[in-house]
Amino acid sequence: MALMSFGEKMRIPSYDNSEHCKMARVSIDHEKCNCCGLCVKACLPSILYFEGKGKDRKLQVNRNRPTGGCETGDVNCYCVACNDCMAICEQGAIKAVSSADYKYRYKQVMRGELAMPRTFNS
Amino acid sequence: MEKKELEQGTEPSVDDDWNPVERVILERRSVRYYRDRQVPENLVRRILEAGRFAPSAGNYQAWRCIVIRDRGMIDAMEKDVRMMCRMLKPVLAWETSPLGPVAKPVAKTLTWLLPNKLHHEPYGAIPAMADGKVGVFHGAPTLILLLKDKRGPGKPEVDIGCCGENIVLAAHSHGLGTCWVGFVELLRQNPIWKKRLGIEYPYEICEGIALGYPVGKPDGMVPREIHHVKWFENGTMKVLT
Repeated sequence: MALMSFGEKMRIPSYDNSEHCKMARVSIDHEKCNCCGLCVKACLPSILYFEGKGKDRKLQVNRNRPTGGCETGDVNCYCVACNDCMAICEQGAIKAVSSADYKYRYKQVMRGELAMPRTFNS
Repeated sequence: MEKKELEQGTEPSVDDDWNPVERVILERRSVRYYRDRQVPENLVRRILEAGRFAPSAGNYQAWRCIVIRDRGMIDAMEKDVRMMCRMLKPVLAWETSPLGPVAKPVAKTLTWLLPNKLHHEPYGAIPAMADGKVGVFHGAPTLILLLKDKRGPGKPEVDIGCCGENIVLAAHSHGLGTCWVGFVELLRQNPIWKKRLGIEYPYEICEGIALGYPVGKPDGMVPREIHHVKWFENGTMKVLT
């Protein structure tokens, strides 16, 4: 079976339709987070920001598309699962837990889940 | 739920199975937050030397480097990249476009014609850059521009990728941070920058690499998607994951 049908190849997903975009998801452990802000600087699409002041300061993920359109509800819009936030975080408080996928022309094929580097020694 | 997910595989591998080269490759992360401290000139020259010895088609070495270390010049480039993004934004951001309902079919047709340039990653980044929400050079004190020799054999962009990867890995091995900045190509046809940088035929801007000392410790192994590998051996085929 072909990886992608002709119809899929030809159709461009609508980015303001959350059905067409399954975005990557960031998981934040607010108990470990000390609000140092390094991940905010490291984030590729700049979707991390702080909300509130003082004790209530909390790391949040912007759920709006950068083009100003839809809010994608449950998912963390526009995360690309690069995990640069995880690498820079000294507290181990943040991590991308799933990768992005789009429908139609940009759907992911022949790919699996996120995995750490493997040695294949055993 | 979230906590449980965090506990699974968050710890980077601590075993010593990786050799030093693998470690440099696996731990290198893109850096988007640089210290003001300038990189010593000899160090920049040393990492460019790593690029000079990259493999290339027919050993043609279809690359050339321009190093920019003037803060004012880098800021001016960033401003002009953003200006180009502002010009593209009304076409791409159909939700907010002044073109109204025409914008969406226009944007989709352009994406159809330019599947790589308007892949959803740059597509989303262009309006965000126009609004200043996403950084371009991230305040790096040094910028390396990789130029392409348009007459290069085969696929000169691939050769430039090899050259640039040598540069970023050598830089990482010296404790420097790097970030590929493909958006400099928006200045490729810009006559002001072509003149200011002295870029003439056969060269054209291909890629940019931001270089500097990182803030914090951005290096480390992270999880990435597994790509399925087709494996032919002994007359059989298997897919490895």
